[in-house]
Amino acid sequence: MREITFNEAIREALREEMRRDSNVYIVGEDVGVNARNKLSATLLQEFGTDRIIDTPIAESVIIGSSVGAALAGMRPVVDIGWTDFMLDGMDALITQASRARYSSDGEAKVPMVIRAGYAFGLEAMMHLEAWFMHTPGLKVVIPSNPHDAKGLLKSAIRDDNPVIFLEHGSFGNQLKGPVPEGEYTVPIGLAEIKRKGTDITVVATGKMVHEALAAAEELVKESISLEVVDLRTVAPMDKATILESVKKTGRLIVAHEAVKTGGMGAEIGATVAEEAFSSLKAPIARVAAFDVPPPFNRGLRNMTLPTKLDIIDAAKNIMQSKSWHR
Amino acid sequence: MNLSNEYLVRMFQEMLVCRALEEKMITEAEGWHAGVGEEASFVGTFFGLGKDDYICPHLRGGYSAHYLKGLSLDQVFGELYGRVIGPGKGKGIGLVGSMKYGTVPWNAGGLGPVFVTSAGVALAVKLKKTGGVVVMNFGDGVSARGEFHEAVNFASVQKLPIVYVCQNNQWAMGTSTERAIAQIDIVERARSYNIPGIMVDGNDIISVHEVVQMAIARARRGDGPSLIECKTYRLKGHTTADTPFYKNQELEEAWLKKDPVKRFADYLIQKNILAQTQVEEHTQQAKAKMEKAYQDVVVKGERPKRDKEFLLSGVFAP
Repeated sequence: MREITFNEAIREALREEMRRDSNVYIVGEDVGVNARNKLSATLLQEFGTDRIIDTPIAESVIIGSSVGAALAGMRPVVDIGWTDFMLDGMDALITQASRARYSSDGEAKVPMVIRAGYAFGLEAMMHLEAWFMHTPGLKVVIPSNPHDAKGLLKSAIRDDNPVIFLEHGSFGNQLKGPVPEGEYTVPIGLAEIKRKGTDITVVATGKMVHEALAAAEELVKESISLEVVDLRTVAPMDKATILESVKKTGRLIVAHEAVKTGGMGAEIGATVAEEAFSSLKAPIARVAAFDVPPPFNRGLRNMTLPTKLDIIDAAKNIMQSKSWHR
Repeated sequence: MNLSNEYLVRMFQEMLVCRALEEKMITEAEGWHAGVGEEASFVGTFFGLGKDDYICPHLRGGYSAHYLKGLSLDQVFGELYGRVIGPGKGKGIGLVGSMKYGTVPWNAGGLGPVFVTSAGVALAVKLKKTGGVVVMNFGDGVSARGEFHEAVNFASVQKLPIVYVCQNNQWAMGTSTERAIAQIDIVERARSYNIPGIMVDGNDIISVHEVVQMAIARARRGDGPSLIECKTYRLKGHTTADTPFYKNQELEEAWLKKDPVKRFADYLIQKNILAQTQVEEHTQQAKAKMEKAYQDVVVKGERPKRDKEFLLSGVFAP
C-alpha cells in the first residue's frame, strides 16, 4: 500500500469531503493564501475564497461563526492552528456548540469540526481534551496515524455534532503511514487494539500510542506482554473495548501527554475501577505529564512529558503490584 | 419610507402585546429583565421580518422578539417557563427559540457568544444566497465584550448581511454607561469598522423601524452590515429582583414621559389613523390575548415529566 504523510492524509480527506458536499468549507487564519502551512493551499485553487475563508486573527469569531453557520446548515471545518488559540473561542464552543442540540431537545444540529494541533512548542502545546470530554455534547478525536487521520476526519465532517479533531504537533509532515487509495471512513467512538497482549492493557492516544508500541516491543525481553489500545476517540469513549481488554489482562496503564491531575487517565482509571474492579490484579498506573505549566526551555519542557521509558517503568512496577508514580 | 396605515396599526397591535407581556411578567416573575419603556426599540427592530430572515435578540425584550418572529405566545411562555410546549421542552436556557423560526439560540447566560454565532448565521445566509438577513440587537453593557469587536469587524470584512442594533438603555445592571463604556455613543464605533452608523430616538418606534428597514435593505443588497443605536432608558431594575436605588429619580420621570407606547398611540390618534376608543379596544385585546396564553401555558400547561430517558436524550445528533 502507498505511504503518505499525516498532512497529506488530512488534505485528501478535506478535498474529498469538499467535493462530496458543497456545504463543507474551511475557515481559519491564513488557510487560503497560506503562509502558515501549505495544507490547504492547493485546495484554494479548486474551491475558491468562498469555501476557503481567510479570517482576521480573531478566534472567537472563527469558532463562534462556525457554530452559527453550522446551525444554519453549513458544515464548517475550522483550522484553528493550535489548541492554545482555541481559548478565545471557548465560550462559543462550550456554551453554544455543545448545548444547542440538547437545549432544543434534538431539533438543532451543529455539524462542525475544529482541527487543532497540540504539543508543538511553548506557544502551541495545550492538551485540552480533558476539558472537552468534561463538556457533554462535544466529540473529541485524536488520531495516531495517517490512515486514521483521513478516515476519522471524513467521519467528523459528516457527523452532525461538533467534533474537536486534535493533531499531534510532531505528526504533520513527519509521520508517514499506509493509506489506501479508495474511499473509506473510520467510525468515531471506536478504539483499536494496535497490539495484542496478555499482561497489561495500555490505553493511549496520539503520540503515546507510538511510545506504548515501542515499550511493548522492549518489554518482550522482560517477558511482559502489553496490549496496546489506541483510543482514537476520547469522547464518546469506547468503554467496551477498554473494559474487555482489562478483564483479560487484569492490569491497566493509561498514557497521555496531558498533565495528570483531572486528566483523561483519571476518567479511564475511575471507569475501570467502577466497572472491572474484580478483574484488577494490580494498581492502575497513569503515565502523564508533570503537574506543572509548560517550561520555556525545550529540555526542561521535554522532561515534563512522559515517554516509552515511563511506560516500561510503570509496567515493571505494576507487574509486582507496586503503585507507580513518575 | 411610506408605511401604510394598516401596517402601522398592525405594528401598534404587536407593540401592545409586547407591553402586555412586560406588565404581566413584572408582576409575576421574580427575575424578569424588564424591557418596559424600551418597546419602541425592540418592536421597531424586529417587526416585519420575513421567513428567510434570522433574529438574535437581546435578553431585554428577547421573548417579545421571538413572538414577533413567529413563535406563538404559547410557545414563548413555554420557553420562558420551561414547559413542554416551548422550544427545548424545558431543557434549554431561556431564549432557546428555534432555527426553524429563524431565531438564533442563546444556550447560556453570558451575553457575548451570540455576537459571534449570529455572524456565522449571516455567513451561512451569504454562502447559501437565500436573500435573508440577520437582525441582532444587544445592550450597551455587552457592547464592552470582546466578541462585539471580533464579530462586527468580521461582518464588515466579509460584507455579511447583518444589522446590529444597540438598545442603549444607559444601564448595565447597576453600572451606568458612563462608568463602563468609554464612548457612551456606541454608534461612534461604526467608522472604525467602515460601516454606516445611525443614531435614532429609541422611544420612537416609527423612526427605529424605518432606520432598521433601511439597514436591512442595504444588507440584502450585499453591501454589508450597519450599526444602529437606539437611545432609550431602562425604567426598572436590572431584573425585577433588583431594587434600583442607584438611579436618578428626575431623569427617570423625564423618560417616563417619553413612554413609547403612549407616544405611538398619540401619533396614530393625531393622524386620524385610530380613534381613542380603538386604541383602548386594541389595548384590551392585546392584554386578553396575552392573558389567555399565560393561563393556558403557565397556569394549566403541561410540565416536562421528570423522566430519566427524556432527560438523557438529545445530547448528540444520531
